[in-house]
Amino acid sequence: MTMSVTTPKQREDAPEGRVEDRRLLTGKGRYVDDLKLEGQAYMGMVRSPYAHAKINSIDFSKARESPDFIASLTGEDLLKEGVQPLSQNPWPFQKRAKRYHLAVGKARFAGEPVAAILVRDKNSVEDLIDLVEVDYDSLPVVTTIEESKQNKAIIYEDWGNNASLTSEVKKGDAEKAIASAAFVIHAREGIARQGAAPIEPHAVLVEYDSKQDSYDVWATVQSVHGTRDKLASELKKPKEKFHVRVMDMGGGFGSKGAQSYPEAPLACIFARRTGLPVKWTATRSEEFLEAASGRDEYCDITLACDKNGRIVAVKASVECDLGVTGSQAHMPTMTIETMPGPYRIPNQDITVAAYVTNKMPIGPVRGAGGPEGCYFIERAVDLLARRAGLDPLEFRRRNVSRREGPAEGEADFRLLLDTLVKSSHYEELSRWRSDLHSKFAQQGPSHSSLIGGLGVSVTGSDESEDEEEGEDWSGASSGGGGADGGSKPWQPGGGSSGGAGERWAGQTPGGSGAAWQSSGDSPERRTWPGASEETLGFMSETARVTLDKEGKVTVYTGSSPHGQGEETTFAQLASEELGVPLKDVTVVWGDTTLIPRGIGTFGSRSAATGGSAVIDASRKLKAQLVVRASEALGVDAKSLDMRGGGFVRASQPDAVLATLNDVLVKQRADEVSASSVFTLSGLSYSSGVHLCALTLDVELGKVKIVKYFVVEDCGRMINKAIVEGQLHGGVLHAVGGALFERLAYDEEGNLLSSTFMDYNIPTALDSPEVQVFHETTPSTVTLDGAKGVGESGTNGAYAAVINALNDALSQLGTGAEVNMVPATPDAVFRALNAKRAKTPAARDSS
Amino acid sequence: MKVNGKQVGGTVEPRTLLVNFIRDDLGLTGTHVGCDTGHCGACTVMVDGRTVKSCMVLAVQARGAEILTVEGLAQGDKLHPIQEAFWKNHGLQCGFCTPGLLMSGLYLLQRNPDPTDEEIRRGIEGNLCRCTGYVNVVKSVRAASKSMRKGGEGGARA
Repeated sequence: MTMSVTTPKQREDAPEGRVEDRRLLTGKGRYVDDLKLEGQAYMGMVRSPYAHAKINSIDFSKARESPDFIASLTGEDLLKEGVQPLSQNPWPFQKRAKRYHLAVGKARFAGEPVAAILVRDKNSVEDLIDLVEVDYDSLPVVTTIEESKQNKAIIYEDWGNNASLTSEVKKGDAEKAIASAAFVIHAREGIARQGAAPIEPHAVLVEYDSKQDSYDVWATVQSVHGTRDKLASELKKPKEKFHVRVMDMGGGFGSKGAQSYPEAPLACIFARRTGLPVKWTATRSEEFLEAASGRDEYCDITLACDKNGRIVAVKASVECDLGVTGSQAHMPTMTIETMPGPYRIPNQDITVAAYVTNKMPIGPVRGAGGPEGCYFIERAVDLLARRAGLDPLEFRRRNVSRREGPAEGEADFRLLLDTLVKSSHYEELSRWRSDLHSKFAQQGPSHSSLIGGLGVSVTGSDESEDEEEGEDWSGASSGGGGADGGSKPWQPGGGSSGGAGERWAGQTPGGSGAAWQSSGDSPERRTWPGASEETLGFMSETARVTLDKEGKVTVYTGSSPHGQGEETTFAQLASEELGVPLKDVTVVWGDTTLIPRGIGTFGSRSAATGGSAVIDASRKLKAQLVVRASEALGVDAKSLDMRGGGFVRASQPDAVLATLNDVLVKQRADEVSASSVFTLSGLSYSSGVHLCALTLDVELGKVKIVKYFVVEDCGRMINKAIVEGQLHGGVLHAVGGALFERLAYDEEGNLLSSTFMDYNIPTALDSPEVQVFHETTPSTVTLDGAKGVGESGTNGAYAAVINALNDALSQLGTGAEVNMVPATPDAVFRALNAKRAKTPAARDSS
Repeated sequence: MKVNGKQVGGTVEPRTLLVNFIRDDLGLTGTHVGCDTGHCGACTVMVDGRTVKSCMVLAVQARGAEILTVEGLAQGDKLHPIQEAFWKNHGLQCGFCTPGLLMSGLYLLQRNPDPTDEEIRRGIEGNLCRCTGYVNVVKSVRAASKSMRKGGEGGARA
């Protein structure tokens, strides 16, 4: 089937600036740390300085002498309280790791909280933390996958070893196809551990109501409902006892998502015990020590193609360092699911194994395994193209194309590549690259040490499968976005060695029991673990839309924006559906009392899933209102429409018969509302192609990105500026990841990069002017036609940058290659010199 | 000291940071703390006409100074041209780093009313943003430069 690809115009009513911006620009935003309650006390966390150590005793006596000291808590106190361990998503492939909010018995990573104190004066928090004396016996430390495999130390005694999960994607016979392929490459690739690093650190504020035995919680979270459910389950109280709210939030990038953190439950306990409001705000170092980091995945890959440059087989073995493993460990499985990307590779043998180490737990960070999958395949695709003697762009064109063209609603990757060539002026860029090379070659590095490199990548997946290929799990590789919902065949944790670890009851968010859908399910039945009637799945979101008698519309959403601009886009959607001016629509989110059910904002899901729920609720509301108007006006409901803030005959759309409030007043209704719990019938993510142009200074190993292009298909663009903003930020996150960012640990498991001085996120000087072009195909599974775009930029940019760097390196003819990320100047410099020393002027056989 | 044109004062512990005095004592929470080590720039304010990372200064060091925070930029309902430019050009997403970026952008434009993109990038180098990739931040400062030169307003203020 063929389908014409259209580029819908920017919506006419898209506002010039976002609705939320005015308060944020004038200092009137309300972030959690901005809140102050009368008499609030401050919580301080005593963190283990050892990566692995037995805790012999904790002595608060010196701290208690201070007039600022109020209370303390230890892991043993939590056990007495009956507090449940930190929640883990009950994925069957993930071994249960039993850890408490404060370490019990032993600390498992440097920075793990071992005690908490409550202090009167904010300025005294750190003084009093220093006065708490903890006696430790250090234990052998596991900081690498190798050490973990060798069981140098066992992190969870009940596991018997350190293996957490294995999983695989298999199709055809990769081994055989590789053996008879025309061209084959092998590579060892990896992405180091990297941080989410939102500029706002985590914070929480809790007030306890002793009469109601209830808690008001303000927290920096991407899901208030998930936080509420975790608090209820960990503190063993009904979830109605927790009113969780978030207002403005200074970025999350996954680290404020579903990861289980100790501080909010501890603040609740302190608040109940003392009756004081309790505030905790992370320092930047605490943020680096504890907030979920990501990546830390390494891959041995073999990729093979036939003499025509068609990829015939991929064989890859991925390993992931999970740290002590957190509430979510699906990132490595996402990596192997997304790895085939848009390529229809007939033979696949992709495996993953993940291990625990004495480091902070990893969690989903922008892309959540997707950037790794994309990087691993796209780097290999470049190497294979070169081996086959084909231009990397042409090689990709051959492999993304389908006989029958793209399926309905799916990206046309060939078109994306063609548009990339046009919009980037690829030929000019190629000339620029040749010119730099000529100068370098003729004048020598002492005169011109710069060479240019061009790199491309493709992100996204081919959702539609050939039937004759007979895949047993369809569409689970959701490519473009950090889906948290991929379901596929799995093997229980630990592979063949060791038990699956303890699984305890009541750990499902909301305590409703696991309802994991088994691997044979179709995508629409795939649900978030723990999904049930009460707790919704990843594919669902809630919305309620109300009209009051002033004619004002309020949209309540279960999504939870923190930079994504949903206050604007959701207002646009309701405004369009109901025919009311944008200024009359208000969007409300992040409040478990006002919005009893919801999922939140993560995994590139809000515009697609949350937006669909807003449209669904708006349409239901409209249906009700039209019936009311029909009664009030004596006009046939079928001939009525809503437009211009009132009701019109569909045949005369410009003549308003009655305003919205007229009808409500006539009907004596204060408010009319409609709700939606909308479940997508399939995943919907953006696809894109990236092109990076950079210069490499061969004397310094320094890389500078000079141009960066993205051509993307995000479905219907609700708001072009916001879509492009998501891509700009997403790309830069990965540029930082590709070139600078590394959470480095020493052999004792100490984090060496715990400030923004040691952990370099890109500044304005490091950042390219990212240019975004659109070739959009409205999604057929979302009501607004949108596809998730929040992670698409990050997924594609690692590969584009590193491919460009290697394109530059290849011109030296030394065989120098960099496949381990980040490619810091130091790493590039070492690669340049290693090859110079070992094999002067000789081409590496690989 | 004078903050946003108003005379203010208070008694603080000697070790109180200027940013904490601004946020906790004066309740001006538009100035944010992102790193407490002087790297992220979210706490940037103007002290006597110069940008200062207010987590790197003690409150007592600012005694007698004139301070401008993000709350002092708009005049009533009328946004400062640099705020207007950030608004029109989608120069912010989560908004956490924005108050600091507005200060650094304004300081740059006061000294260099018509900066090149490279100069803009240099001018805001001390402010970290994780959302925007700086693309629209640079665009916003460029737009503010144009409107401030045209309108002749704002640039001289603060």
